[in-house]
Amino acid sequence: MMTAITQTAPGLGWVFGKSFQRMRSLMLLFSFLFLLAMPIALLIIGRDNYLTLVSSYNFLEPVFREQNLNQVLWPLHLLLALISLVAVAVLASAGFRTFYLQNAVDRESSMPLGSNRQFLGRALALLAAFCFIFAVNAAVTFAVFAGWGKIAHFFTYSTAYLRLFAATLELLAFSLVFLALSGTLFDAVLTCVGIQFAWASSVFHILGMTNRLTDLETDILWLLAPAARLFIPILLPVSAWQSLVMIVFWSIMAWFFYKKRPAEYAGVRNGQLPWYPVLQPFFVLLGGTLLGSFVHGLFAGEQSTLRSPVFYMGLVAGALLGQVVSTVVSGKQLRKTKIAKEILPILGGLTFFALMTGLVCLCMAPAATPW
Amino acid sequence: MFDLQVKANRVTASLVWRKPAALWFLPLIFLFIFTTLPLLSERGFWPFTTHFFNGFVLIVMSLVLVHQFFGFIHRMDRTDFYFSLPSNRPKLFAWLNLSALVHLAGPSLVIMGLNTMLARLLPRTDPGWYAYTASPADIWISYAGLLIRIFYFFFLLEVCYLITEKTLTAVGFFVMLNIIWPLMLFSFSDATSQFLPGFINPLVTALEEPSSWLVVLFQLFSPAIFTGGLAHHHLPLGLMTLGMACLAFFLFRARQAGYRSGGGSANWPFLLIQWMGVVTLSLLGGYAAHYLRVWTTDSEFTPVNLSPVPFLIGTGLGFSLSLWVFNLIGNKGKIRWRSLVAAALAAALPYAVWLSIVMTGAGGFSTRLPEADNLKRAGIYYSGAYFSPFGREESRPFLFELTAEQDLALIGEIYRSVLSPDNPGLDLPRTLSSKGQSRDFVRLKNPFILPYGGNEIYYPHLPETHLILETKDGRSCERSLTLPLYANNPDYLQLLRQNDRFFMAELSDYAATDKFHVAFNLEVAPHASAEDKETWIQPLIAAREEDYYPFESLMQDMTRYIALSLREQDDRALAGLVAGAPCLIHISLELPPGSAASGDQPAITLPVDPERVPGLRELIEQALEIFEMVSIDPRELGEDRPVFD
Repeated sequence: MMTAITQTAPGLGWVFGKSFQRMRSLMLLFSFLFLLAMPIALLIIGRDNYLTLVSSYNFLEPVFREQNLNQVLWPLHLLLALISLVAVAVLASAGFRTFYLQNAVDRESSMPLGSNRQFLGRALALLAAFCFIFAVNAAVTFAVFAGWGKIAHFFTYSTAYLRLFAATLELLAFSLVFLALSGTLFDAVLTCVGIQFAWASSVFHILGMTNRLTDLETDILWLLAPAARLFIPILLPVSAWQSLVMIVFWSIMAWFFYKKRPAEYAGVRNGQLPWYPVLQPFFVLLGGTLLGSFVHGLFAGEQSTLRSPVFYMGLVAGALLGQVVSTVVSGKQLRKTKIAKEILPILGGLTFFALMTGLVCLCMAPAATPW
Repeated sequence: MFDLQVKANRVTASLVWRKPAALWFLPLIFLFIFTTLPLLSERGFWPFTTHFFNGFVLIVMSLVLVHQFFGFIHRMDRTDFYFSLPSNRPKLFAWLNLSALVHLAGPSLVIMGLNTMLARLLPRTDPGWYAYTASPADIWISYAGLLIRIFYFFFLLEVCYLITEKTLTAVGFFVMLNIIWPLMLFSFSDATSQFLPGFINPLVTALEEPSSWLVVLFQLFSPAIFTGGLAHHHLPLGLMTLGMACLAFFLFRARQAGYRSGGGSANWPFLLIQWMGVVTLSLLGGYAAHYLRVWTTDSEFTPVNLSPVPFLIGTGLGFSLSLWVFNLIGNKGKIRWRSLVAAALAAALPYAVWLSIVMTGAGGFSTRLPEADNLKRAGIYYSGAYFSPFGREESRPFLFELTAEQDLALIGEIYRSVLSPDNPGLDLPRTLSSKGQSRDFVRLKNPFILPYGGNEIYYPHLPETHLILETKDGRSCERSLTLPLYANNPDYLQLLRQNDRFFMAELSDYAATDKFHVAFNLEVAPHASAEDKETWIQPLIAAREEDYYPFESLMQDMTRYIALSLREQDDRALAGLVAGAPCLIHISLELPPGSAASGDQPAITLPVDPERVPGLRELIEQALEIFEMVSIDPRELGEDRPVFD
């Protein structure tokens, strides 16, 4: 007698399970690192030392109170932020590793699974991994504080902890955009880091040269640098709602790019993908502002930056260099590209600079005392 | 046949030399921006920018070029192509390396040549600035040292490519080696010196500049860290580079097209890194836990009752974590218990042996010092001796020896007072804070009341003393200890009183300001010439009357320099110099209020004689110039005088 075996087509649960399994051991490793950085460190410090330290005066006292931290939790929280940064890079890479292998992509593409489920399964697995890491750490830290009879300390700290969790998810969602867009894992990491650095550095320079840099609270500075949001809330008040909005925004973008991604992208360097020139103005902007400021500082440091011809010479040369370097680094061979195609991102970057500078000058009041 | 061979060689050469132009123009542009442009704006910038940016570019380009020229090793199709070229392996190796090294050093050499030419052509804008900057010849000597180190870096990376099966593995192995090797050397030598008070950390307190063997040891697996100064050690590092090139050649010749390093026997590059990583991270875990406990303990001094438990917990956590991470890396994200146990045993055994030695005090290493009556000679190494800008031979660190019996008895008393059973740093089991406890034991035993602060008690920050002891039966030992060489210690004061040369050696050291305070008095000798009186003696005396604080600083520098220059003179020669000097400086040590010591204040008279002490005239002239500038009345400023805000 034959028993009929009912085979169900793989669904969301299957993708989730596979992805979760792939990153399980790394998830446990990062959970251990979180435990080391917070509850185990607290146990090594000891209750008496902890209480003595938190009752003593510190010059950062007002900042600690505002950010729901104290002398002991502040450095430990900073460590957690650093580990979160590494965890996002490692776990997201592990979750999307097969995405860049041609044979794995072919196999996944031939499965009876839509790209929506594939994306959702992977994204949920990543979300589950981070929820697990943060929840385990919170539970053990709670147990330590409860054992010390200081549960109130835990509840005060939990606001800062939740902000860190939100910032981690924002960075994760931002990374998913580049993981979905890129052809190789190396390029995904490089582009994700490069864009954040290019944005923060360029805006920092533009705010500085227009005398608009009052302090680091300027939201525009961190708009495309979510990695910084892990650390900024330690010193400055940052709205958690802003993080939640950005999580939704980047997740929708990542899902959109994932859906539109052709299977042929796997293993191809970013420089050879059609969307890459759209990002290059960011690198042009970075090269231009850095070199412009550098030569201005060398040859005309006493003049106002925006009125100095030397700055504009450096800006153009830097823009050109930014374009060339970003082209070479992304794996595109210069000799195979047309000059006209290379000039467009440079013009785009320079226009971007003019627009940004104009907008900053129009919309922001000059700083009374430069930062 | 001959034509065919020539043609084959030409094909290989053209293949090897045809590389993207970006490999030349990107480093050229980068170096032009960061070294030539600053040079054009201010000529004096060149020595400060050249090595940093050249080093950075050369390191990045080494990584790029090794991949460009030897990346084929990890691709089966490309390896087949290269190894089937009509050229034998040695020739292929030579062509590849020659082309890679030309691409590596070429842009940098072009910019160095351009900068040298510009530095000669450009006018000097601020003459004073250039007196303290390196000359072009010095810059080129250092640059040669940089190139040798970079070539070693290049060949070591090439070897990593040749012993691995994937580019990621090769680069990962190389990077890990560069990080873990120096970390391992530093952490173990430092931890040993912390567990065993007196142990001289060879990496920090070398007798002179880092010796060649130390530089070779560091550079061996971490060429990215340029130790020993770029201007030195060219020969040993050149030989190392040659050796590494030979190793690369043998590996290249023996490399099979289908090579897999982990395929056959053990994957030894990974095992080596794993072993180094596990022992280092275990120790660093111990450091982290121990200092977390110490630094969060509310105490101004190193806590007395310290348990070794936090260190052991940290070691255990570091050990587990590093084993876990390496196992995940080695087994592609999965735990393999068999390899984990083997790796754990390989790392745990030597670590446990080292730990048991240092925690038990290494058989009395810190406490077994010779008795004073058994001493034949005691040397004190002065590493912080005064450095004169008018560079003389005397401005170097030196070793001062005590040989007289009464001196040896006193120094013996001084170091034996540290070996007291009350010293918590000598308790067992030792901890990472044993050295700190021993230091604070000496500090706490030597308090005094601040002269200007009411009854405030002050604990001096005494420097470590490097002692070299030789016994009558020929044994010798070296220790670095915090000794009570301090103004309220009667033995120390007696030693200063009875040995002028020791007093001079102490005066020459920068650390003297932590040990005692002295009063200066100038005396004009009757036979001083009118010119001397007018040019420097009277201005010096006037300086004292005008403003005491700058004067004291001038006197300290002058005293250090004279004491350093004349420290070899015996009592008779010194007396002769004092008798013939145009000016004398009387130095007397001020006893701290409330100190245990009593009796006469140690005092010494030194000759201020620019004719007999080379470099002293320049020192005095410079000092008087500075004094004039800092003590100038702003209301008297003329148009030509500099303004100091």
